[in-house]
Amino acid sequence: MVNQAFLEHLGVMVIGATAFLWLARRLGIPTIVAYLLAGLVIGPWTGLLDQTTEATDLITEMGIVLLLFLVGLELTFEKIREVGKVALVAGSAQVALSVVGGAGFCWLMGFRGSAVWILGFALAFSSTVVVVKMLVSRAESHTLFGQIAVGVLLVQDIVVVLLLTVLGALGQGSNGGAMDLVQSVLIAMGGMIALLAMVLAAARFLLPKPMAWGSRSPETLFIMSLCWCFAVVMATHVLHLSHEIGAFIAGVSLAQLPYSHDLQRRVQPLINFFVAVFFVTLGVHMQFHGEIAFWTQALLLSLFVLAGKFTIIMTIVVRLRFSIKTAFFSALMLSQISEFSFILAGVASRGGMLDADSASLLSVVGLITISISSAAMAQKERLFRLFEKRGWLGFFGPATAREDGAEDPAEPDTQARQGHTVIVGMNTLGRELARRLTDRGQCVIGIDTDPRKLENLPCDTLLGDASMLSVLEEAHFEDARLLVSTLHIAPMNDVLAYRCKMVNTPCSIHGFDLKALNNLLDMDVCYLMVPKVDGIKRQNTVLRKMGILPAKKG
Amino acid sequence: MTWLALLVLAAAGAFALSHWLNLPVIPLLILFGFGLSNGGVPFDQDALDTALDLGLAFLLFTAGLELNPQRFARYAGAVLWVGSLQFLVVGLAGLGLASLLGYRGLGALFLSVSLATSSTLVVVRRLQVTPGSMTSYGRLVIGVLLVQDVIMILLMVTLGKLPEGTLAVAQGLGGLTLLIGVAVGLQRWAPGIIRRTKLDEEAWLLITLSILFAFAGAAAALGIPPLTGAFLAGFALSSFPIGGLVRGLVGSLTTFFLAVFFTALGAKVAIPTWAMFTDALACVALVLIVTPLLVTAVAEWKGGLSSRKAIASGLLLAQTSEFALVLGLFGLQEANLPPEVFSIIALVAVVTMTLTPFLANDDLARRLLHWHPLRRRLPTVSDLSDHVLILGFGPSGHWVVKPLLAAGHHVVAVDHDPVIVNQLRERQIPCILGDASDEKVLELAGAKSAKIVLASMSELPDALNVIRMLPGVPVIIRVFEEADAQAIERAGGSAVLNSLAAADAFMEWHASSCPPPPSPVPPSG
Repeated sequence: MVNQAFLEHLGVMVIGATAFLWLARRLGIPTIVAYLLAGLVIGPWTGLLDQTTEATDLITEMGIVLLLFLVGLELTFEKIREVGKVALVAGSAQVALSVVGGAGFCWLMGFRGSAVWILGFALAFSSTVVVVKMLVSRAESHTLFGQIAVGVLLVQDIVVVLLLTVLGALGQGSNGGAMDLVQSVLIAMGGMIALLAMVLAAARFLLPKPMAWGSRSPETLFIMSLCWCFAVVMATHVLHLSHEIGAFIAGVSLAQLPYSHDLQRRVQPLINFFVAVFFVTLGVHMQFHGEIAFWTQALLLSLFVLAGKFTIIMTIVVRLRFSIKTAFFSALMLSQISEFSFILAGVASRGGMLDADSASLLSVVGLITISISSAAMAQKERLFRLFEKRGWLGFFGPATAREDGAEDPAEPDTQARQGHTVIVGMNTLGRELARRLTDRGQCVIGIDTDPRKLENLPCDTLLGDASMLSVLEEAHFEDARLLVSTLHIAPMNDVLAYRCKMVNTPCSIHGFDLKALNNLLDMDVCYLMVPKVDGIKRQNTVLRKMGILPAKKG
Repeated sequence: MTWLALLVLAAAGAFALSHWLNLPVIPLLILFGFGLSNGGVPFDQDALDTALDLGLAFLLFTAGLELNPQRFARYAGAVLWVGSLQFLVVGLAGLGLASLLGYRGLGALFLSVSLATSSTLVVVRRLQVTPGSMTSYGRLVIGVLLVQDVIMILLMVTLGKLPEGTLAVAQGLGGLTLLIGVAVGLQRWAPGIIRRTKLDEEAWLLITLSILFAFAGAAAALGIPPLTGAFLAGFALSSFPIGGLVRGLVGSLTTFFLAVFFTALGAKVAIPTWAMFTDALACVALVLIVTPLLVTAVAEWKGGLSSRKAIASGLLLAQTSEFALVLGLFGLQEANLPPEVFSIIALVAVVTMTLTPFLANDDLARRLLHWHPLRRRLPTVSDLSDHVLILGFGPSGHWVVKPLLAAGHHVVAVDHDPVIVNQLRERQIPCILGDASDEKVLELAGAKSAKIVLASMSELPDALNVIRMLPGVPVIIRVFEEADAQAIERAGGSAVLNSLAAADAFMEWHASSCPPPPSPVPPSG
């Protein structure tokens, strides 16, 4: 039963990823680069290169699927309306210009035949996993540049599906000729549109009721949502579409529900695990040659991606009348090649359209561009100021380009709460405190896992499990005046007190078990609520009124 | 990915049904997996094994994570008694039953061991959803589970090494002791390390998983099953505050992997024959009869629990463990265990885990109390009229008694905690050890002739029961939830809402300690 090799491989990957991540955090290196380096180092050292199993492949595939599911979960219809058009225009123009530009660049470098176009396409695609990972880990998914980038990536995904369909047909010898090819492409397009229509109809008519019913049990809602994700992914599989598109559509359909934020937080740890394995595996499979010519070609192609593709995207987004800054960030974010580039190269290589050296060339280009774009995104503000100061952005047009003179729509709603009170647990005590503190003019945010308990409250509410740090961070607990926990779960109260102590936020905790208050006292809780004792005092008041206890003197 | 999608689909069905019927999800996951594979859906056995591999590692890690010894330190002696006696007696009874049913050798041994332990995951989940359960009996039960889980990993090592001879067994146990030592050390020292380290959630998640895989790897290097390492990794991270932090970090991962694991496990179970079915029923009967009886007796005898809490402990532990399934899979892998025995083990787990919420409820414990032969009775306290009766004294009861005594009232108390009862007796306060909602206990305490009854009860049915049994006597009950207070008022009692009283006290503190928020700056001009 226990496939020891599988657990060993996974263990080596996770431990390697952790070690490099720890180093990366110390040296300020982006997470993705740390994972790739971990793969590069442990691959040859442990012999993993020749031993990766189907199971690890499955984990990496799941990582990509869940990542796209998460991206979809963040896109409400309103957001799609905001950036849908620009994504479609920018995505199509970017792919077209990058393919032509990339192919021309490759021709100038001496490539000939089908390799020119294959490399052109491979250089045109940006990495969904890298971009989304960067957006998610920096909490920038909801930014305008983030949404433009994701929109462009989705257009690229559609092109990839069509391209893989064409290459698949060509690779099989395309017995039926051009008609079969056209038929395959039309089926893929039709399938995509049909699926989109079905899933969006489900989002409107089928999902709300069962999801509302399941939402009272967070685990049930979580598994039901994953089930929906996998069901749609399977539908895309049947229609010969990419799993990523299915996962994204499934996410979009659930994004319209009020529980989507809670789902995003619950999916995140799964993604962190699967994506780490994905990047380590990618690093393990990167193969290099020693010749100078190989490295020169790799550097030149990387330069095209980092500078050429950057310029193309920047130009298009500015032309669509977005600000220079939004265009700069979007372009920076998309300046790398994709995991699809490797897949494309693999399929083309098997079909005899690309030689093995060119395929491994793309590995190096991938490593260089992914590393540099990740590092650049970590310093994007500083880079933008540098480019602006040097006047390098003047080429793209005036600084505020929107026709109506307005700023780009809603850059993040990150208006930080400060000086507010966070109440965890909307039981009778929590709800009462929320009402009274609000009446006193305090800004209050109430947290609970049960949506019904958050109804009819006079304050802001947050659906989520407070044992997850991300929930507390969303409530800005580190800037809160006070955190109050009214929960009856002792380990959870202990953890909340600990977290508050770590960020110096005062807290008041429900000490319901009088025999187990040690942990709370160690954590310097500033006010310990003991309803049992307070209840006795109130009972004594009642007894006084009944004449059983004597009236208080004075 | 198709097989994984199907497993998740089945898991979603199980979760939905569990949510609807308020049943534990584990047996339903097994049933849905069983239905999937025996309903004609072809499964690749390698794929199922992959799901089982990862799921097993997370399952044992999660079980270890729940077993923080701090929780039951005060009951260490009782924990050892109950845990080891349950394992020994139920195991021996299981061996006898297995022989009666015609099983011999390792098959009989595996079957008997599988009946002897209770499920950490089911019990912990049950304790989490039962208000007030993390008191004496909840803590004792958690300790018992740790003892049993440790016995099970000892057995896994022993059974795994047995074919290689005694020396190999000794080496295996030596390796296990070493790993346990490391886990205990980490459990003790890790909180200090974590407080000095500042990392984000992604890094902590990977560190947690690295510890899991490092322990599994170390176990493999020491020649013992890697899964024992996974359990010990969970145990190593169970202390405060790490346990709570890790639970928050890996919550979604464990939900996902456990769902996939139990569904995949169900898919491995063959359709039982009628004979297997009846054998399984006999085993279920043994678990449901012997375990509660034994645990009740030992918990009361060695743990000093009140009869009702002892019965509740026995009922809560009346199911077989996920470790039984792990051991069964282990047996299958080593080809020592006939597949039909594994099917019986799985069937028993499904039935007993499903029955847990029906058995582990206060109402049944109260009913069974009437049949308890060791019920403690006190001679009727004389002159029991016009007294103040306190039901459910608890650790906060002294604040109730003090003003009453000062006012010259005759106070009688009822509590199920023997420590509290002894303290009261030392203070010369008449006190009865027993269940405050038990009609006979109320009779002994002269409830019907009391001036007033003051009660604090964690269970609403208990409170309503007291009001029903004492018509005409003023009853004041302290509760936390507003809905409970309304139910008590409707039944004719008076309710004091602890939560509102706490809100008053909190607001008083807040007004004196927290300055009001700054008023918004008026727009200039």
